[in-house]
Amino acid sequence: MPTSSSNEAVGVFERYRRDVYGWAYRLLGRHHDAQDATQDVFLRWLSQSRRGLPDNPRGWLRRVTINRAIDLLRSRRPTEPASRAELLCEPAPPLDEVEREELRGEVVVALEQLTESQRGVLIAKVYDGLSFARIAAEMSLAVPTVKTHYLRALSAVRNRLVRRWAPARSQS
Amino acid sequence: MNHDQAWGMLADYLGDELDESQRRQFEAHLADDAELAAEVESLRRTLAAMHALDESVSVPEISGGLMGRPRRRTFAFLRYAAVILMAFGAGYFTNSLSMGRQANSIAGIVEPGSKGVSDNWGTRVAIAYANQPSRSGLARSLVALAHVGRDQ
Repeated sequence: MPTSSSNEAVGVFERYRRDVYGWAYRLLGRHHDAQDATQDVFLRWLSQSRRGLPDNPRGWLRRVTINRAIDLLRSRRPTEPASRAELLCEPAPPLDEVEREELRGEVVVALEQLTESQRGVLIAKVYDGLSFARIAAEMSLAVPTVKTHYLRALSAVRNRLVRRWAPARSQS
Repeated sequence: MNHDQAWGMLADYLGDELDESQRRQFEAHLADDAELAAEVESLRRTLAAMHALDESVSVPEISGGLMGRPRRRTFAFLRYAAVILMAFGAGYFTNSLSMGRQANSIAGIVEPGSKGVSDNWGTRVAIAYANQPSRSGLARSLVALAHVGRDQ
């Protein structure tokens, strides 16, 4: 039977499960992959809970989810062209969905090149809508450091996306 | 507001953390600072692109709880099978030990704190696993293992 502490860990995770899925889905772009990532993060959470729950569960979960999603993307890339059977069975996605996938890929490549703190700050600010002060408290950083991470991370993503924007500008 | 002050407010402006007065001052400065204005435009466009990914997120309700969906990957089944085999292997091993203890007991050799055959680790894994029908795959096995390990 589960102990009370493992029940507590499951309860805490359940509170943030939607957040975990959301972070994973934004980076992975596929429902099944996001659910796989959510399950992986849950298992890590259970393992972590045996050593004690982190002071800031949401921050811990965000960091682990982002790292897990990036790991999944790295493992997905080399096998992607080989999954022809999957491509043949599924209807072709609409063009805007293709563009969204390309955009997601560019964003994730940019995120990969950031430090863990920079990634965490950017995701917390853009997707969670947290204030710089709240992010600083969650990540045990100074507010000016958080702002610096935010600008550097955002600039890195911008520098990646500029390659997509350049042809559009030259056409206009 | 000078150039350095405006650049110092860039994060707060993009993060929507300036009050109304500060925001108006900043935007007024942009009219005279082409370099900063270009930076703001490109970073806002970046934010818009990131938010475009956000619009596609629709978190599903998982009726079976945290582990309600079986893993799609074929290898997940193999991992699941490996964990079960390990559990039964451990059960066989500890069962042998337990039977040895029983033999000792029959022979009059008493081991304080020894457990019966049905209380060995592997059997408890199998029981814990069987008692969690709402979970699936490797996760279900690992959760069972975690609970058993904790209950030891």
